[in-house]
Amino acid sequence: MKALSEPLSPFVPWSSEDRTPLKEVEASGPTGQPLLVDLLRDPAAVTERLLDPQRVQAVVLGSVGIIAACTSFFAAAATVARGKDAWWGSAGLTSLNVLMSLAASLGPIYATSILLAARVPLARLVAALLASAATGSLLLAGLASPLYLLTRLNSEWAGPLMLTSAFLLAGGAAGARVHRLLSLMAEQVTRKALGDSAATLSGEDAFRVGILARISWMVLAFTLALGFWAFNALG
Amino acid sequence: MGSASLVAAVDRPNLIDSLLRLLDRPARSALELARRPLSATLAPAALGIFLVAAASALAGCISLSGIRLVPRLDVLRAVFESLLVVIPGTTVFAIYLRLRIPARAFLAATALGLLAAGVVATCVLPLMGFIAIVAVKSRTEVPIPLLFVPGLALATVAALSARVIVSLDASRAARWLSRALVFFLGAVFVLRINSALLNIHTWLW
Repeated sequence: MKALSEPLSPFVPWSSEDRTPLKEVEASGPTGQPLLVDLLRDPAAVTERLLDPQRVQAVVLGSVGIIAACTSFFAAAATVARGKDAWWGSAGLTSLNVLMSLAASLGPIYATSILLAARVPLARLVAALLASAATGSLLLAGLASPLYLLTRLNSEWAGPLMLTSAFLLAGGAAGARVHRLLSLMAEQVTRKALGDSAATLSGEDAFRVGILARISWMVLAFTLALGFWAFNALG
Repeated sequence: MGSASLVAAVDRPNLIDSLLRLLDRPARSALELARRPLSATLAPAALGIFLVAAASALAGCISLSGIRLVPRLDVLRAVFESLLVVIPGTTVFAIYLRLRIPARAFLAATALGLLAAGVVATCVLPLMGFIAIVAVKSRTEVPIPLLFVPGLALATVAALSARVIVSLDASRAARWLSRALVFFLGAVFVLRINSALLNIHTWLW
């Protein structure tokens, strides 16, 4: 791989440290990542946070904040794109709607985990669900610009189609993230319990964790859809 | 060091010079600023926003019938709106696609882009004044300074952030992300002023 560099003005005298490859400058940075970056990039790091009793509360609070901020931003962009000025109503209603749907879906998911003989401790389940919902809402905020663009271009077809596909994409990513977080968490706990750092989940356990992940995705999608239908937050 | 004495000999380093040196090597400066506190990361943005706003307001005062006291600021508003809509999304996708660009470094790159935009907008102001004088004679129908100064500022932000993305990560995903950034910034800007462009005659007098 060639050394990363950037074009420099030949009229200005540059010292040798200005000419070192960029990769070395970057590598000397701090290693600890903020929660926001971990949520997007690194499920394993999020799992470590979930399993650490001192850090799990920060994950919960941070995720709630991220969900509220990102869904409000998305709703505000969608409202402004349609030429309405009163964006704060829909912004507040959307984040409230998502948080209420998350709260409503917790009970059924916990019950499912008991039925499946794969009970997740409630605090960790809450944190895992919130973390994956936060990943989804971060992506939703990222999709605000195409939504804005397409709604401006054509608010009858392109805008609503983009709105739907933004929710589908963010929902898909959040579902994949729930699956990954639950599997990683089960694996870590099993490893610690067995004292074997190379242990993996048995096929049967992985199967039940997979069912739990899919059911949580489904229940959450159901409550979210109900919430958006009832409150008409983006209408 | 030899190069340091050379700098002192060629041009005496001062505040403006150090600011311009930040812009000469944006990727490296972005990585350095990212390691400083958040206020230091965003400091270039504050200066840049001030310069862009002042230059656009001055250009907005120019109209065919002479100097207008209350400037038109629709285009400036469109610039900041498109930045607000596009930059968070690009940051999110840069992290999600596992590009080798720290989020703070991308923020710093945008801040540097705003500073560069401020410098560029200030640089074209004399030309805009010249156009204002000439336009009285030529009776041109397009309000060039009004559109051009904020548009050029936005283009500078887009170009500089895209250059930083490509410098920090040579992968294909990074190249596409930088293209998407430029495209969406331009598209949101154009669509935002589109409705205003349709009744352009109200801008002229």
